[in-house]
Amino acid sequence: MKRVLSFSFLFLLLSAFSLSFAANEGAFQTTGDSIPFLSGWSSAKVLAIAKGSRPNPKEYLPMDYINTHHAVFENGASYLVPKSVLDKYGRKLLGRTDGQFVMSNTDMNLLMRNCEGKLSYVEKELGIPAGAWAGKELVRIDIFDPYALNLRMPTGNESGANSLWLPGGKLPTGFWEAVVDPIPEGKYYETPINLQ
Amino acid sequence: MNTIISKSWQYSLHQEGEKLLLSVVCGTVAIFTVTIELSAQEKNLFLEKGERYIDELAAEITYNPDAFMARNVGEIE
Repeated sequence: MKRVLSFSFLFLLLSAFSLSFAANEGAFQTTGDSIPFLSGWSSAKVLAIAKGSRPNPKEYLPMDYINTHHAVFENGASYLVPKSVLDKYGRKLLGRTDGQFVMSNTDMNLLMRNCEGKLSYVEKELGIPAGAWAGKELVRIDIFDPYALNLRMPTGNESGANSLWLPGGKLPTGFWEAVVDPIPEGKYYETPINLQ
Repeated sequence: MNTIISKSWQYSLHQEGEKLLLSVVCGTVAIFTVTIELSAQEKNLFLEKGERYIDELAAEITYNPDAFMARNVGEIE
C-alpha cells in the first residue's frame, strides 16, 4: 500500500512538472505551489523561523520529494560568477565553507538558451539586483559530479542564503537549487559567457 | 589600497586614505558583489567592536543586498 501511495505521489509530481514544462517552452520548472509540505508545515511557517534556526528539510518535506530534487542534478550543477570574483578569491576552492548554491546543469542550459544573450533576463530569472553585473565579465561554473560534493537541499541557514530564499529547493522563479560543499580545482569547468 | 580583512568568498575590507571600503559577496546561484564605503557611524562601530562588527555588517548585506545597492560604489581594484 505504501509503495502504491509512493508511486501515486511521484506520478502526480511528474504530471505537475510536465504541465510546467510545456508552459515554459521547455524549461524544467515548477511553481512554489507544487511543493508538497508535510502536514502542519508551509512555506510561511519555515520562513517565520529565523535564519540560523531553520529545520532540516526532512522535517517538513516528504522523502520522495527530496529524492526527486536530488535526482534533478544528475547531469551536473552550475552557477554564475563574475570573473573578477574568481580572480580575487582564487580557483583552488570555490564557494563559502558552509556551501555554494547551485542550479541544475539542465536548467542552466535552458536559461542560457532562453535568455538570448540578454543580461537583464538572467538577472531577473536568478533574482539579482538590476545592474549588479553591468560591465562585468561573467563566468559559468559547471560541476560534473555534484553528488561527490555532498549535494543537498538548502536549509536557508547557509551564510549565503538571502531574503529571497524559499524552502523546497527552488528559486522564486521555479528553477531548482541545491547546495554543495566548496568545489576543489579539477572538479569543475569554467566557461566565459557573453551577456549584453 | 590596503586590505585590512579578507574572508574568502565572504567579504574584504579595504582602506584607501580615510575611506574604509567593504566589498561583500552576495547572491546564491548568481554571484555578484556589493561594495560600500563605511559611514562615520559604521567606522566608529568597527573601531569599537572590531572584526565582529564587519562580520555582522557583511552578513546583513549578503542577506538583503537590495537595501545597500544605492550605496554600491562598484568594483574596487
